[in-house]
Amino acid sequence: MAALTVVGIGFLPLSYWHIAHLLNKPHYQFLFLLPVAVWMLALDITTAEDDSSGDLWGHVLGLAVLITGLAGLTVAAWYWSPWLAAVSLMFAGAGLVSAREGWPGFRRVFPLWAFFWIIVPLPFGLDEDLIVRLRALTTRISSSVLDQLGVFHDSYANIIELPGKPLFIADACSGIHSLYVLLAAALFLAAYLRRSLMHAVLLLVSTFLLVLVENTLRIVLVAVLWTHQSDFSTGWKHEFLGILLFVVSMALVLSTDQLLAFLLPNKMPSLRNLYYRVRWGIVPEAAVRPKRSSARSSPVPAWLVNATTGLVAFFPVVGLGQLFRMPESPPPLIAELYDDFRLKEFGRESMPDEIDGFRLESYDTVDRVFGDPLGQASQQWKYRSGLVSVMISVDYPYTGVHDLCECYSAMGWHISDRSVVSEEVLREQKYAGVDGPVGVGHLERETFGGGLLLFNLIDQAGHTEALIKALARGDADQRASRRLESFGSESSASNAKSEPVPPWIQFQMFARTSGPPDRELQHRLTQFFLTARQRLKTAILSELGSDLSSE
Amino acid sequence: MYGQRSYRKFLRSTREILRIVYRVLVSPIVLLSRAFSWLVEVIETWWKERRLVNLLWGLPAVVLGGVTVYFALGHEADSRFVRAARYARRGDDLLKSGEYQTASLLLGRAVSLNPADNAAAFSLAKACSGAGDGSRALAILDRLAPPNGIGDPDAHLWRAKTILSRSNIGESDLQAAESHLLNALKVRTSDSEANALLGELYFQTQLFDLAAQRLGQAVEEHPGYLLMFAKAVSLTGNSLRARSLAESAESHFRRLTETDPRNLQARLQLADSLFFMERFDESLEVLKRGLETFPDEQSLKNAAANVLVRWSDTLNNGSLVHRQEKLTKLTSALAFNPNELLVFDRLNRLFLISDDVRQAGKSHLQQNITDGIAVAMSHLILGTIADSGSVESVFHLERAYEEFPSASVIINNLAWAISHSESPDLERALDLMNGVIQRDDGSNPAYTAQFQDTRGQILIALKRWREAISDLESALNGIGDKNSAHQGLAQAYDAIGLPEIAEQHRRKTTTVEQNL
Repeated sequence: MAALTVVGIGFLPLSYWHIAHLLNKPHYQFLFLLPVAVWMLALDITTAEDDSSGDLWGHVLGLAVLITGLAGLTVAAWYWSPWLAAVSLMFAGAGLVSAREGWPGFRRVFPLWAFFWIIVPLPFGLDEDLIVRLRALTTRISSSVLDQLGVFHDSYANIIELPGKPLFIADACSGIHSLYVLLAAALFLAAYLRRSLMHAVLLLVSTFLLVLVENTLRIVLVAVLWTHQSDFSTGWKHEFLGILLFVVSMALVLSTDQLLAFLLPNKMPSLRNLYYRVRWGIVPEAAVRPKRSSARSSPVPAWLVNATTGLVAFFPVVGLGQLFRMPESPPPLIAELYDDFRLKEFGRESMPDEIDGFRLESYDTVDRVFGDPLGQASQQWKYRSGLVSVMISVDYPYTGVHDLCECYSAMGWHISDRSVVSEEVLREQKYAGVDGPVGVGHLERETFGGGLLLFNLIDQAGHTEALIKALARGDADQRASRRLESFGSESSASNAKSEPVPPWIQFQMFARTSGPPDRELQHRLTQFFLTARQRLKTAILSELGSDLSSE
Repeated sequence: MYGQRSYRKFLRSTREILRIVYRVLVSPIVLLSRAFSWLVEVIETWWKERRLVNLLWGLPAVVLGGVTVYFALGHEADSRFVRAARYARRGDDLLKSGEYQTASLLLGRAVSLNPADNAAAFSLAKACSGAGDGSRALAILDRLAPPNGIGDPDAHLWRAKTILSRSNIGESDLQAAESHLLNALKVRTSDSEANALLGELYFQTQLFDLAAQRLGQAVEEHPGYLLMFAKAVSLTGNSLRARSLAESAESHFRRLTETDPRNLQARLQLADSLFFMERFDESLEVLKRGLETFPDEQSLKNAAANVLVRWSDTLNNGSLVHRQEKLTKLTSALAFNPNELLVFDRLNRLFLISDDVRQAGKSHLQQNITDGIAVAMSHLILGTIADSGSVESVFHLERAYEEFPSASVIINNLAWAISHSESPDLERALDLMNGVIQRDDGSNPAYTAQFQDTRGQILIALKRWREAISDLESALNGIGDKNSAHQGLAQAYDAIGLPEIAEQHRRKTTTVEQNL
């Protein structure tokens, strides 16, 4: 236990960063329950039969894994990678137990060790990819079920559109939140009840499918209720439905565990037995693999004990080194979500009736679920000039700079060209009202025509930013390798600029045309965006009481 | 001995072979039976270890699994194309009932499920257009019926109809509509609707030969175009065939009118057919009968006034009886349509000769004023035929102006009267005419010229020579009575020191007077 504590000290700074990053993600906030779960599982270990004997190779392998853990920690400390530190912690834990207590010792702690893997998210942003895939899958399944129920709708990318009600399948609806919680619960259940490996794997797979069913059911229910004039897509009704379905899903995980307990044999039939039975008609005693006799166990050699002890002593040293490598300001353990952030309704009159030949047609406010990529709330002004329709929208709140192209991509638009135009370039092109970079996306969609998307965001201090992730990270196929290459750039990058003041507020202009807009129209629309944005920014900062509002 | 040994050996070998055959045949059965018994033992062991309470607790998961399988099988059974057809049908129903937003949603899904369904895509374009999403409709139509290529004939036809239904159609619009109709006809050569629309387009653009050709291919299925066909044929010089076609049109529209007396368009077309054949009395009778059913229908009244005016035109102005008959018809026309400028025009002409007819007409108009019938037009005519600039003239025109302050003809005549009265108010007259010319859209060149002539004369009186020359020279070609314009121009050119041009205008004045 003392050795484990010493090793743990070596991971402390990086672990804090890792846990803080995880807790900043809504779908990882269930980790607050981690200590209770660990305590329950650990309790089970201490009451188990003490068996410290093991074979030599188990100890040697453990030492090798411990060395891997130390090496991983050193690399993680040097490049300041909390994720790598978390993986190294898992290795170091397993290595230490195996090196000291051999294979039997590791088998005793295996359930706890396996459960601990929930603190390691998928690497290289694969969890984000999983979110995107889950959204698309949930949308497709929901659409099919709605078709079978006779609910007419349209479905594209991450949208289920009902007559008069588009439903964006947001993170909250895609199941990523309940997926992580329910998988953790299933893992805990399997570990706590000491289920077989087969049972645990089947339970995890079933839980994954169950989450898909849960979220499909949520969307289908919202859609069906909408056709009966009841809106469960936002507000407390949406929250209530989510909680209810989560509770039902949790109960269904327990039910699935019981079903598996009923279906799976207590001991899996042995193929060896089958062979002897078929070959000879009986299972001779000699055919049964004898238990390892204590004669084959040998005491742990002194050099191995000493090597293990010496290695453990290195961990706090690396931990000390982390104090010199870590960024200046530690992240808060709980990030603010800004789900109660609101702006006043600026109203139709806050924008001119006409801007450069575009006439104002309507003003609307939109409320969505928290976490919706299009913002929890929006204020939209719709203009038109001939066949060109233009929507100016203020969307909020965002915890960080947001790539709007991804949202439109998720709505079925093909982004043929995207770029971030810098403030300097805009000034060179003689635009008026330039204030920061602007994200630009050229959109196309079959049977919809073309579109031009312009956007950027301001924080509470009025600083403007625009981001297009695809450009920042490169091609999706190259993403993993880029992420590997980008190790180490995180700390220096995070301190390079002045700290933003979230929440962020997004300005967007989406112009729809029957075909790709020509150069003259693009120029006109860009100026339109800058003019409208300048006006809205002043109004927003004035309401927020920012010093920049007078600028 | 040798034979006995061989015999024994043979027996041994045979026994061995039989044993091998036996083993080969029987072994699989034995192995399978052993495996089966092992399986039975495993199942027995498994079953003995089962706890039913686990199954009971697991029942919700079983139910959920069943429901999931049910929907998964349902998805497999429901093909993409069947779903697309279902959405297209429902979308079409909604489109017909005018629920464009929902229709576009459902048709959009139909098209996304089956992108090859051009009919659904075309319906989607119509739904988008109806919902006000013009850019999306155009994007779809550009794919279905490209402006410079052959596409879906229905889409081409619809694009042409949409263009032709606009209020202000320019030359390029007409060309685009023609191109779409021709593209539709390239795919469906005998499409009667496309032929009919193309014929109408050519008729409106005065290409009567082409119009007759296209309408000839359309009238069998669209007899509503018979009258237009007759007019086109008449304008190409074939009066006999035109007459025959007009008779066919009359029969068609009469049948429609008799079947449904409330069919207003059929009644108007019937009246027009009769009018075309100069059967004015019958035409008027048809319209009057229509007015019995629709007493306030202005289109019937306008048509009746038009018939009466044209009927009066056929009467000789030289005969007193005919002039009296003219007056009767024109005053009847005035009762049908008090704002019909053709009536004003014809009465003015009728009253140029000062005789009993003029006197009777004046009395009738005065009676109209007393009875409150066509008050503004009566004042306008009385003001116009009264001596120019007289108190009576100015009074009547002022009253007409009060009744219709935006009627350009009334303002023009009033401006003329007050600029020629004993104490002329030239500035007011000029203001009035400036307003008229500013509002004039040039749709009637004769009126435009008349307005410029009036303002030019006012400017002459104000001695604003250069502006007067500009107006009068613009007006010169469009006005009937050029005498006063030439006089004014002669005066203006003298004033600015160009006596040669002034002399030429003066000579024109003399020529005009001699011609008169």
